[in-house]
Amino acid sequence: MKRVASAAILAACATLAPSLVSAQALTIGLAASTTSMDPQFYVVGPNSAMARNIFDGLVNQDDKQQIQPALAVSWRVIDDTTWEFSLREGVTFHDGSAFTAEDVVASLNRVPMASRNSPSSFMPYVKAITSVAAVDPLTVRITTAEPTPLLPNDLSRIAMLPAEDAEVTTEEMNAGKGVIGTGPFKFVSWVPDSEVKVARNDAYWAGPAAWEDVTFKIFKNNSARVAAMLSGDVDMIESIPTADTRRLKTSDDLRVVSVAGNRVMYLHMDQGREVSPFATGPDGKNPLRDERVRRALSLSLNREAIVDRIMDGQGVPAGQLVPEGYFGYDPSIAVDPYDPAKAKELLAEAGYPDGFKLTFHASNDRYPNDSRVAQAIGQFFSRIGIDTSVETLPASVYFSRASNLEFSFIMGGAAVETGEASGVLGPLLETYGDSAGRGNRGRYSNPEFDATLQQARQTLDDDARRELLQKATRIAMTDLGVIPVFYLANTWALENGLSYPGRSDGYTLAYEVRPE
Amino acid sequence: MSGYLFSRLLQTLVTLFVMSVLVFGGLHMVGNPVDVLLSPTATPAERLEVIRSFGLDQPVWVQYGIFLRNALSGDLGNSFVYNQPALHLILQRMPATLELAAAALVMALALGLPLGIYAGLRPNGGLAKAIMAFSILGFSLPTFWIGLVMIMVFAVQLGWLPSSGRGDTVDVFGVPLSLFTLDGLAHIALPAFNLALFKISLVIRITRAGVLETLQLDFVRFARAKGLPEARIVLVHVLKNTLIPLITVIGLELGSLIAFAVVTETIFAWPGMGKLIIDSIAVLDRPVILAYLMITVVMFSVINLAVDILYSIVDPRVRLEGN
Repeated sequence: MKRVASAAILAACATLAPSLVSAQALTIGLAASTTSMDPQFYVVGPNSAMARNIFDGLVNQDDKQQIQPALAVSWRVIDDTTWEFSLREGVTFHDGSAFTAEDVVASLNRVPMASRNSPSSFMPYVKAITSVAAVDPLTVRITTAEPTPLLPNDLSRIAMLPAEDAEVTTEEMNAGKGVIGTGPFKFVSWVPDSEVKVARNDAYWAGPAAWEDVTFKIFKNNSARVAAMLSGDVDMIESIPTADTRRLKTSDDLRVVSVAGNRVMYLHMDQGREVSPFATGPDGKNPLRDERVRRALSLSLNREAIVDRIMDGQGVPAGQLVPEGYFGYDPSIAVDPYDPAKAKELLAEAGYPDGFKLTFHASNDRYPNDSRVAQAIGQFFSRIGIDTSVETLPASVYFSRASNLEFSFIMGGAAVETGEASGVLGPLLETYGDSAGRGNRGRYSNPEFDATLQQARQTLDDDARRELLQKATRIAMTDLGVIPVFYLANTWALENGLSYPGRSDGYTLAYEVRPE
Repeated sequence: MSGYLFSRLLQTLVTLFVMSVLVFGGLHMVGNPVDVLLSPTATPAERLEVIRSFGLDQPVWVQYGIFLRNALSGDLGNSFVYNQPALHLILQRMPATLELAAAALVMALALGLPLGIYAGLRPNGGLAKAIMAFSILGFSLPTFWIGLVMIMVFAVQLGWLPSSGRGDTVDVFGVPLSLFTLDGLAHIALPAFNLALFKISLVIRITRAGVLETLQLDFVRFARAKGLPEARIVLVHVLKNTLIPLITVIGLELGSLIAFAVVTETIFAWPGMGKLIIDSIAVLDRPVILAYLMITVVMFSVINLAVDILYSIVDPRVRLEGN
């Protein structure tokens, strides 16, 4: 039904009259709503994306999530645990006050307070820091407990607020008080679940934005978002439903922007237990512990077909966990080809010539087309003789049960929040423990991998660290601790006359929207 | 009357209590919100901190006890993701939903009653048959699809009405309402009609059936024999008797209009309570879900009470007694 309706709406698109975009006001349709105006309260995509319109970090992530100078123009490592950041001169907050080292100290110290009652706080990004000191108004010195090469990546997540607002609570910010940053737009108003309005900050340090007023409207329903775009209610939307992308692309009045995203869809297999509840060979044992079986599963997948047919082209086949262009990507690792014959051979070699029984669990409302992707993958497994059944569940039920190891074979999606490989290698593949591998729901464990990753984390030299991350990736992908399937694409539709470079983190930042 | 009200109040309290136990237990079984909300990279210490701050480290009955104690003082807990009182979140979105439901109800009655009466009076006429065919369509077409088609026709193709959202609002006694601005009316027209469509059909059918039935009764014949004008017979005597089943059904439907306008609110991006509950379920924001369902119970109780009182006004044979 949904498809029929969206098809109908798209048919109407042909008659859409081209409308002129006013160079002053911009209306953007977002797919998810911001739950708080406090940029330090809750680590979740929609909140972080909105915060970037109003706030800056000491450093910011660019459209490929690489670290760029922002409120700090440069930084240097004084010794293994001490960093010095030189701040940008002449930056002012939206309230007119000057941005100085004291503001940095106050902002970093506010994080613990803002993390109270947070479902997922910013504490992990500041926990390495032992002290922050203002050396002079434009110099900040940060000391960490251990060598922390990812300090700039962590700091890119922390919004800078005026020191006077250090005591402002999340509740007060939600009520509109003290939502003051240095970003390209000033906060105007927020109606939860409905819209956010911002106005241009003419004094923005990187030059004023092209838009005087920007309204972000929330359309969680895919068809409604597309309809709002087609009817001209909004000038731009994010995340186009995959089924509509191709046809929107052929419209003369719109343009579609699609870039490879930072989220990899992967398969996680129980490698920890001798006997697993949903994967049983003829001998009753868990076949997924055998590396050859895992390789066979990977070779059985036609990744091109999944991306092309199920995702309507909105993705890129994956052979590792971070996309090309990311720190730690290893160009020498190839994507497993589609080779069912080889897969059957490997299965036979591993002692399962007649396959085994597998129930594959996946979410059905968390990632684009997740249940359809899972069905397709299940069919590929069936083709090499594995007796597969697919069960999909709502995310609210699925993740709890997956974390409790109630499943044997699951699908997940991991976003590279930090912009470099350790951000996914650690959570997904490091040996499960109190401070590591917390998302390792397959309980993969390889001491050599752990050691390499740990070494990378403490290596401050970029080139050496890159090599270590590549090595760790090679180890994990040889073992197939997880099977990468594809990277999701991020998409936007814009009215003619607008341009947007697209971002791998999927954020929709009004500053980067330009009239032509 | 006061005895009656008192016993109704007691019933409502019992319902609320039973409901809260069921929902609390149910939510507890569905899943752990921490698994949905917390980043997978969190350490056990961070996880424990979140669990503790949400009070999830206590046994269920202790959690329920705390909830009950706070609820009695009017505090239904803080939303996990908004970090704001759940009740506040719901009340903030309530005016939008109420006004949408009210607009839909007015449409349902304004269109459904006359059409239903006409169809009852001339059951074999061509127009009456057309009305009945329309009502079947109204019943059977899914709200979701109709909503999208309406957006396509009126917003995308004709460009007469906006496709979604709520228009300008004005504060009426501190409550932001969009019914009193032109822009607001333009925004509410499509979603209200979308929501009303099913109810219009319902009203048409009930009214028609009631009119057909009442017309056969002796008192109508007497009235005719007495020489009363036809208009008075229909609009006073027939209509009054038709209203009783209608009030029952509309009462119940009003409750569902308010509480479960979810589909319409989603398609038209209407910032009401329906969208809130869906989002809250997706992330297992327990306090909001619980508060929402409690408010729903209260609302249904109030509506049922209003229905009973209306009965006694329309039909003098009905007396409200406490037992």
